[in-house]
Amino acid sequence: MDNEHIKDLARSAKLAFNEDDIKDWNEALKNVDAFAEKLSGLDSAAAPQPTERKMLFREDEIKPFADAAGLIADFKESEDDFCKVEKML
Amino acid sequence: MIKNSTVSVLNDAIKKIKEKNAELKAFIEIFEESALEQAKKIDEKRASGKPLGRLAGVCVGIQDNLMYKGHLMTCASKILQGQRAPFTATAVQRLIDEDAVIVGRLDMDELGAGPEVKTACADAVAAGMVPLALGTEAAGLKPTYGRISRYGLSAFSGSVDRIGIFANNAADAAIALGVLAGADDNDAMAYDIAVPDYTNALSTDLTGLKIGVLENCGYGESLETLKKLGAQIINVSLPSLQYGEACYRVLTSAEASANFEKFDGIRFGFAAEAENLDEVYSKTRAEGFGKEVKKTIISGHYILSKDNYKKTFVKAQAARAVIAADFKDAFKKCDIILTPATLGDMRFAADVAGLPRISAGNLYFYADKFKEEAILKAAYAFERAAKK
Repeated sequence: MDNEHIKDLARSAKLAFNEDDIKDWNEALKNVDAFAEKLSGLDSAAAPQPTERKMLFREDEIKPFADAAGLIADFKESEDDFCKVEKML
Repeated sequence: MIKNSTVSVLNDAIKKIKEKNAELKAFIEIFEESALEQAKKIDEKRASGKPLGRLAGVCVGIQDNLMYKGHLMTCASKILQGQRAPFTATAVQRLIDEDAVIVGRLDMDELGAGPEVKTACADAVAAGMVPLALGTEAAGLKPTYGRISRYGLSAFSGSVDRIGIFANNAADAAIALGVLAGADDNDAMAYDIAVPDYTNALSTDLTGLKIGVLENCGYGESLETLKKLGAQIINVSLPSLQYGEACYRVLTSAEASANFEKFDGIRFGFAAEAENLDEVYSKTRAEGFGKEVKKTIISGHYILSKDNYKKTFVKAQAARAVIAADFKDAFKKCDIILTPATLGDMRFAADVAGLPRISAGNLYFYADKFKEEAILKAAYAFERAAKK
């Protein structure tokens, strides 16, 4: 297993890592490959197959909001035409 | 139902837990204050002549992945350090409604993600610390998927998660299942199927019960015992059993990795010191999760990645359907299937198929969906015969 690929997986999983982690995870992914190999031997033709998933996109469009002033007024704090939320960090 | 004063029963239980916990480390926390409050209320109810619940005075341990409002629930993980349950799980509430006393939380493998070494629920009951425990460990009575609501159970793998019952015997498990089973508006997967009185199924006469056995399994003398009780032993085969573990590991890793995404230092438990938001996420998760959980997460991301999704996750879903069909065929010939507890593939296969099972001695009894009465009956008779 390519270590760079494992690092990419870790980044997508939002996990900080060190080199020991990469070794550990390499072993874990080998197990997954072994499970995939095992499952490839299963004749699943008769089993119900999952339907293909499709991502449906629509064009973004800006629609004016009817009561923007009311929405902002409902907020605890606002500045100009923006609602203010508490700082997270 | 316990007839002595609930407060005295509770005090005895707490004393025993404290004595034995030093060695067993089954309990992470004892809820002394809330348990005493509950016990006093039950005694007041008893003194005033009000009818008592089916579990009046029974002390119960709950695994650290079940919510009990206001109490800590950490799934034995640093990532949930200091996290208090915002509500009570349906299963726990049903125990409370029947006057059971929740005495504390039990240890578990971190977030339920393995390596399947902790057996705190089974240990606590076996050691006499509590007569009843709820948890997601392998042993005990695992009812059909959807028989007990999972509302308030911290999710590990949504298509597999089930709350199990740990009791001293099948008779006690039958009473507890009667309390816990049934539909729940808060869990769409909790089936609205009538809950029988499972204790009616308990009998030492197994005449007419067909028990399926697998080839090349070491059953020892258990088959003779079951035959003497009246059961008929039938050979069955489950060709897809060999795919049980691969199917289970792939599905649960994928689902768990998705479930654990929410633990990022913002809403729940532990948060690492960091300079910016991305670092909060990655450092919190790196410091908060243990080794096994991280392996599960990385495996899950790998399984769900574009290049692997079809050959792992989709294939495992197909395997699950094949396994379920094999079980269906087998249960046309028999009422229950018996295996040694050590046959791991069977446990994994039954888990992905959502079938109920109960452990008795070193055996597992499995049945078709919602046929808990059959396994309770067999386990009850087997336990009685083994005691003679």
